[in-house]
Amino acid sequence: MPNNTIIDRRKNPGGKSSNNRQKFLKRSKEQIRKSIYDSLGKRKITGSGDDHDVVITRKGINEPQFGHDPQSGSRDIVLPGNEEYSEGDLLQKPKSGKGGSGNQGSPDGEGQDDFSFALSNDEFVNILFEDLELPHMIPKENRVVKKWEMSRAGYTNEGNPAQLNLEKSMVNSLGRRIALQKPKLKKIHELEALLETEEDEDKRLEIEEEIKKLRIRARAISFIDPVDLRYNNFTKIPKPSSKAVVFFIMDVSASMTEFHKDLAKRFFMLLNLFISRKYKTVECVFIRHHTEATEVDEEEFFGGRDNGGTIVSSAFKLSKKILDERYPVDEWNIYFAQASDGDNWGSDNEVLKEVLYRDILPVTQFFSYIQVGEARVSGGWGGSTYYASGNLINEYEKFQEEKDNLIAKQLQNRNDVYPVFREIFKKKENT
Amino acid sequence: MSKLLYSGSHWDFDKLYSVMDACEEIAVNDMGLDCFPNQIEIITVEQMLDAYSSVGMPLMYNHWSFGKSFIGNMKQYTAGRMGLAYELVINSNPCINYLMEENSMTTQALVIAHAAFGHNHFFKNNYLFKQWTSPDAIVDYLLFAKKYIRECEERYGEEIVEETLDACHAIQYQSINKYKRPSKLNARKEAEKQKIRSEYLQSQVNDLWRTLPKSDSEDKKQKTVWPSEPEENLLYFLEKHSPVLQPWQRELCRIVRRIAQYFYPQYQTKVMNEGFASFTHHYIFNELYNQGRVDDGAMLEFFQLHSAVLYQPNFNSQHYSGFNPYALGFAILKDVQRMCDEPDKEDEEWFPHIVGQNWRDVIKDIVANYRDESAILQFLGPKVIRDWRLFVLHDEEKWENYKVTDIHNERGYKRVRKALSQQYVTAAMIPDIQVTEADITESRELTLTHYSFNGKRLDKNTAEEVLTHVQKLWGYDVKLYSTYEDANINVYECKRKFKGVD
Repeated sequence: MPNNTIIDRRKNPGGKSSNNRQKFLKRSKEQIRKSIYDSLGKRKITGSGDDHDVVITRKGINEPQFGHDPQSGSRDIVLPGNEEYSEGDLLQKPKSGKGGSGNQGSPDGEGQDDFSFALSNDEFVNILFEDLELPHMIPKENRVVKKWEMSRAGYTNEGNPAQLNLEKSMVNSLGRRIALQKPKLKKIHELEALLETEEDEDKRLEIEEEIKKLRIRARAISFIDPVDLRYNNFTKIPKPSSKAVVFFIMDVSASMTEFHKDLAKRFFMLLNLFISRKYKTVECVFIRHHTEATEVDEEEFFGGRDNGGTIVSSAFKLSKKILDERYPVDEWNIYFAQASDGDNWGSDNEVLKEVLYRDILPVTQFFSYIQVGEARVSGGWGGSTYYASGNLINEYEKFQEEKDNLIAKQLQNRNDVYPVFREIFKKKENT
Repeated sequence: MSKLLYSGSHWDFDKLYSVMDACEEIAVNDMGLDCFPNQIEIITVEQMLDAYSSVGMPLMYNHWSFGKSFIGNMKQYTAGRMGLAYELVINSNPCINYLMEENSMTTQALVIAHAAFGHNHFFKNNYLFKQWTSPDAIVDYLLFAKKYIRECEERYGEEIVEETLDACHAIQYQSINKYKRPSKLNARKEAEKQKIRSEYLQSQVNDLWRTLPKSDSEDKKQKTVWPSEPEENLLYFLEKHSPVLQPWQRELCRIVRRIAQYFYPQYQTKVMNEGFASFTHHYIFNELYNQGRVDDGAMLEFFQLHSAVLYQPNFNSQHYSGFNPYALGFAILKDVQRMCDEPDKEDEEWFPHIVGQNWRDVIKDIVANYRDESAILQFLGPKVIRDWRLFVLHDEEKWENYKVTDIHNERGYKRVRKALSQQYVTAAMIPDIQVTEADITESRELTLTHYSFNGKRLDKNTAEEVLTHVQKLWGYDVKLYSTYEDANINVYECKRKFKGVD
């Protein structure tokens, strides 16, 4: 029938509602951020790329509409499926909520206070790190660069024929011909036509002379001259490395409780996600230490505890070794993240400074030290009580003044982690 | 005689065309239906979810709430908690039917019979749709609205546009003309008139405040209530008379209320519309089978689909969530058909004007001239009440228990029917709230009145939230009186928030 048509719409571009989705995400950004943060503790540092489930409350995304209080007023309710009742029977009212009348419940389905959905990895990271940037992203110009990229770089007068730029060359040719007043063929043809019809001998001679002159001139000025030619030019430019390695260093001596580790884990996770945004490949190295350091996998990193004292420098000595063996500085961007509750043997502080200054900080893009747990009031070097056994942050704060790629922060509780993180990486107003 | 239209479950476009032709033959020549031309569109799951989320409309303007419902639907769907409709149909000319690509051939055939002929005929012939909607213009109008709102976002910023739309959405169901017929839509004219109208409106509004009474002694004595008649359409009133809205915001009010108006017939005819579409697919499919054009396998699949769509759980089942409009409408119409063809004594007593008539004419008359409330009141017969074992509970707020007042017996039939019909009265579903006074001479306070249905109160939380939206659109204090039988049962208020500079 001509009246009816069938159209295949399956090929139409999808994502028609992505605009609406972005509007929705924008509206509930703060809530989503909070939800993401709450769930961070459950994630693995190295795990990413999956969808992220987010739960937010319905407050703020309500669409209020006038409605009836279902319990109010008098009403008749018609129901199907009577099996036993006759007129006059009484039925117990349900305790709350559903009166059993025609209302079909909320169109959102869940009808609870929570609204949960999945964010794609990009959306997740974008919301989490909006307005943040990595500080000290100093281009590694001075390093030996092994990777090069060809890039267009204007035009040259010499080159191989394959790189000839026709357009540029022809523009030059035309310009040169105009400048040298090369006679046009049309003009010569006109004169020749005139010659045909001209009777007067003198005039004919004059015209012939003119034609001759023009022909000589035309022959002298070439259509394309070597000076016209232009070639596309390419240069090599160094290609910045897209690989990064993050060293996670944590004190696992007995004083680090689960609570401390949770704080550290949250911070590390944020850092790792954040760094992952900038680089194609990010590798993680987990180093735990007490008096000596060992490289472990993530499970073990946050797992068990060891007893004993704390020598922080041991971790950096090991890091240096790993760096030398596996991560050459000209190929890798190097990041350090250290967490500790502040313990260190007093005698180690000097060694630590030396190792950091000599081996670590010069090759590191960014070094962050976080001290978890309650702030320690006094140094109490060599004091008798356990908790007075050091306040490493004092040391790092001194480093921080001297080196611009190191930052040290105290984290007292969970609520601090994200604000502190944002504070560190907040985009600077200038530029 | 005729060959099979198809066999197996795989569909292709040729089969769809031949099924459509076969259905049309039965729909037009046998049933005598009168339809818009059909435009069938095959879509994917994502496209269906998308259509779901923007109130079933293609080309709906952008708003975060549609994003929210898309996310919600997607989540439900992927978790397997929600099946998607097999089709979606738009009341437009040509009538647009969305069919999902993953439907089996039998499902596609059922859906074509259901939507492309059942719903289509209903849209074209029901008096509510004829009066209130403009199928020729709706797609163009939506396009105009979408473009206009996008331009507003560019010119005035997304935030203020969103805020205005939020406010408009909050009162969209109170922004419907229930008695006065709206003018027909015309997208091109709308666009042309929009600019002139907005300038004109703005000057009108300014005028309003300029004409404050000069000789106050006389005016004060006989302070008249303005507007003189209550206005049932809140957005219309705000669009025309709000002292604070910008011209483009008035246009947004207009867009939201016109789209709400467009949907008004749909929720007044849910039962009859779905019932008639189900009746149509049932009749057409049985005819196809009788003609030997679909095979036994297809028929079995058809019955399975049909009974799933028309499933009505009993009130004490955990699946019960009110009446299934497909099932109720289908039962009523099927009973009417039975009464025409094979009436018994009871029918002759109850429906003497139907008995022995041609069921095609009777059903087409019901489709054309009734909405849910009136159709149930007129045509719900004792047989359906018995089959469904319907009964009525009466509930008073103060009572500890519900009381069974009527059941499916001689005494109860009429009262069951009346009570069920009352459940489909618009005011039972959507609170009736009107503008009753705007004090334009002094405080500029706007007064709304809620006319309670059966003493139902407004839900306090949402009422207060909605009022803040009304306040934003009006700009000054807003009061809402909830009244029942001329007595106030509640007052809600939303005061104007003063900003730093004023």
